[in-house]
Amino acid sequence: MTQYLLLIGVLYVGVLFFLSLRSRKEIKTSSDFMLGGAKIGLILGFMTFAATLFSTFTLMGMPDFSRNNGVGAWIFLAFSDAVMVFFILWFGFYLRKRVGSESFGGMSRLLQNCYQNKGVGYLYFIAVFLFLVPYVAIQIRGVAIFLIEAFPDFIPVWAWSVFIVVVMLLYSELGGLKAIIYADFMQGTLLLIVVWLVAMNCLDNVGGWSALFEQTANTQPDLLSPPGPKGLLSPQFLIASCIAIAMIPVTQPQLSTRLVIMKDYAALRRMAVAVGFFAILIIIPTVIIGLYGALQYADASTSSFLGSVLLREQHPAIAAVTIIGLLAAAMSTSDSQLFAMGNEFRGLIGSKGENNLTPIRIAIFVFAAAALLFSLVSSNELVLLARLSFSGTGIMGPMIILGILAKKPQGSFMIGLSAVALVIFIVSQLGWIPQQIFNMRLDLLLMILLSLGALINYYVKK
Amino acid sequence: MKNWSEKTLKRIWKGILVAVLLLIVFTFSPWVLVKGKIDPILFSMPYHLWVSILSTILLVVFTGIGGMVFYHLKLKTDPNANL
Repeated sequence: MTQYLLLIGVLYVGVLFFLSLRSRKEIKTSSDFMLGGAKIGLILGFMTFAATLFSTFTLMGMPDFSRNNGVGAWIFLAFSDAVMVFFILWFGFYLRKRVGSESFGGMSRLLQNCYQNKGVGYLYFIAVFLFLVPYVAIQIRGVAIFLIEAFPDFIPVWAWSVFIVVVMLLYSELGGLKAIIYADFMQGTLLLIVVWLVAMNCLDNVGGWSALFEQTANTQPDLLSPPGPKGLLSPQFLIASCIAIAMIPVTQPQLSTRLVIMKDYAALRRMAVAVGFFAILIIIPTVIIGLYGALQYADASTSSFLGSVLLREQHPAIAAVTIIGLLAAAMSTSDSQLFAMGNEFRGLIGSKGENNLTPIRIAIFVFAAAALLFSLVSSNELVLLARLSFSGTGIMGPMIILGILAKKPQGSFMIGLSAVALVIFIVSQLGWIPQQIFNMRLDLLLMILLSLGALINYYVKK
Repeated sequence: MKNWSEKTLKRIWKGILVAVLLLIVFTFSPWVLVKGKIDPILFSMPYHLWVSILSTILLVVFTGIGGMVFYHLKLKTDPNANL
């Protein structure tokens, strides 16, 4: 496998740096660096959105999640993604209308303009910083634990993590957002190929599509319906997850930015449909791999299961492509997030950041370092950590939607309410207060209250 | 669709919104989220999986149609939009 890995790895890194250097020539201002020229067509827009959305969390987290919780994982992610792409039609239109023809200085600055309030930008930035760190961290963690399985006794997990972060920073720092978007195209394609190759191999090993479900029904029937053997996929969990996932383009700046930089609305709506079908295509194989894992590796640890299914059972060439595919998936999501944070920082520092990239580069570096530290102490529950990130940033959703939809500033009520809700959510995650109140999940309750608050605020200020 | 009246486009857009809402409610209802129900099986898939895959495909199809309708509706009603 090492020979294949070297060959494919050198090819991959070469293409990555070629794209970075090519994009570097087109960079004249900080806006070129951060927004890639802001005119992205359907194909590039679709691939960069999909590659940013689907990551290590999809290729490693979802098979493990399906292995433990069964076919309900489909509604958790695929159906929620479909709700999200429908929501993009509507939110994307109003977001682009609000931004208009001005240069996009990030969601923080946009919110400051909408609310005519500086505090809202800082609140958004804090929420995004706090909850994107775990999301970036799981990309690093996921790949690092996988590389440990691939090369045991080579270097420790922290060294792999540092290596991943250094490569990610180097190539994105070189070429800016345009380089990331070109690389996303390659990474998205690679991810799709890898996940299907692995799934086909699993089906082959188990005796085909029908045999997969028949054997699961005989050995672990609880996996074939929600809430799954552990009872995790309850209606409340799935509904709260759906809301949090549908809110991702609203609340996570790496995806909001991609809605804004699309060439026009026609490209955006086509991109939404393409992402929906891509989600279906990429999540089906993760369910197959997960059920196969439940049959063959029911009691194995996450890393052992993934190491066996993704590496040891594969032909060395496919295993090598898988390693590169995973690295690519992690990088395409993480670098987009790092960049989005840089753009938010640029928006907050205002005119000082317009033509000076140094503070933005420092911000990206600090954010990457925070994610690296978190990755070293986080657990291997990749999907649940990702969900924490979606729910945490989701708290800002109603406030953002209100600000973007309203034609005039909406006062400070929703800003205060969202800040309080954020604190309550963080405190509940720390275990200082219960995560269920009156038999209702706290994240779901907070989203309902915030949505009601935004609605009342809108009609009072109308 | 370009020649359709604003009223027709609005009506279709509202119809799509209602259909999407009903589809979401159905998918999270006890008809789909039912513990232990495996039959009826379709293409070897248990009930929950094929119903939720079908719901997802329908929702993406609605996104395609809805996107076209919304685009033409906004062309007529919102000349200041960044389309």
